[in-house]
Amino acid sequence: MIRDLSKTNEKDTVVGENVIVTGKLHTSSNIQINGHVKGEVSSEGTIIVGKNATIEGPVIAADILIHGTVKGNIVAKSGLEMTSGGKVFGDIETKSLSIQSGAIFIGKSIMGEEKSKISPDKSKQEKTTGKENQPEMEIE
Amino acid sequence: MYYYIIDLGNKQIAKMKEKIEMMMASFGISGDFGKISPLSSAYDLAKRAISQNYSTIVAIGDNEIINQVAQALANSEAAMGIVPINAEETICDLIGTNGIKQALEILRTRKIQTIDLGKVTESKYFLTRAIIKNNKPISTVLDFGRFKIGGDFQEIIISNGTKTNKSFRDGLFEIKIDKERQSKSFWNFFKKPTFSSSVFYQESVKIETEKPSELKIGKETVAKTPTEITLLPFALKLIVTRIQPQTKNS
Repeated sequence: MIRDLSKTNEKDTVVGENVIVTGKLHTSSNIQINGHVKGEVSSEGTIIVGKNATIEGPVIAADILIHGTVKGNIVAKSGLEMTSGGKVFGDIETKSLSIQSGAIFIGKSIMGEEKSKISPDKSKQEKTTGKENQPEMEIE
Repeated sequence: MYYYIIDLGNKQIAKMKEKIEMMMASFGISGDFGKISPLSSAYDLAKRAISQNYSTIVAIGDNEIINQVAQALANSEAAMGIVPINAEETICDLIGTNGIKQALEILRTRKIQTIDLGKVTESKYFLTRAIIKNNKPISTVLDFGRFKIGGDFQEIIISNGTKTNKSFRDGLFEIKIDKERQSKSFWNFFKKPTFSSSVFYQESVKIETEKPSELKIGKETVAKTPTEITLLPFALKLIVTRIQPQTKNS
């Protein structure tokens, strides 16, 4: 279970609702997105994509929790959770993947300890030979 | 040699002056006093003290006075002391006390730490925070270099150390942006929390607004948008407690 950032006192970055971020947002601590990001989001900690949030670009972090929408490839080094409102249009690479009923995932997933095969800055992934799910998956 | 900057126009401070002087004498840190007046601000007095080669310049009072003295001492060799009276918690945490006697004891033991300052223009620095407050949300762009954020904002607070981020030595500002100003009214306590606030930790920011907005340090307007705020790392020598603050877990 990915922790709730609102209960920490660390230097967590928060993007509020009605805010548009453009460019590369990178921090070493956690990031909570409640607004709209056009560009790459990366963190050495946890990224939480809020219910009304949209990210158009690659997302890279240790842990990622998705309540909102991501249009881009995702690399979650440790684990990724999608809740029932979560939508991902892109490929996912992670060690641990949890998708709740009602979530939408359209893309490929690579799981396990293999070396990264998803290029986060390319919308299309190169051919891989690893453990892959079907190219399109929708859980509703 | 100590130089104390005091506002005797403040009745609370004026009442305490004699007692403070007695404590200074007992700690062996007596010095000269500079009294704030309409013709001599805390900033002017601190600048004068630097030119007269005082090694320690002490602000006695609230945030306003403390910030003005910090501004004057930016990048100078003189050390700054603080005797907080009605100063905010962040400043008290920074030096290690909110008590007058304890603050004087800290001056006596004289542990100097160099800390960051915020810089708005060549002569305008801040120790705690700079604020933009608009009457209503206006279209604003904040440029952090690698990324920009845009939206309609009412309040932007650029802090060099806050209640949650207590570090004045991390080379980063906490930049808090609100669509609407948060009111501390009784009824707001029962309102559902909103997700309109944004918080970023960055070392500089350029701010542009649809119409010019005032950037204030304390009560003073120091710039109008568009403006850039940068962080000067280790720019102020501050006298702090020798006792390590206890963490919550300890």
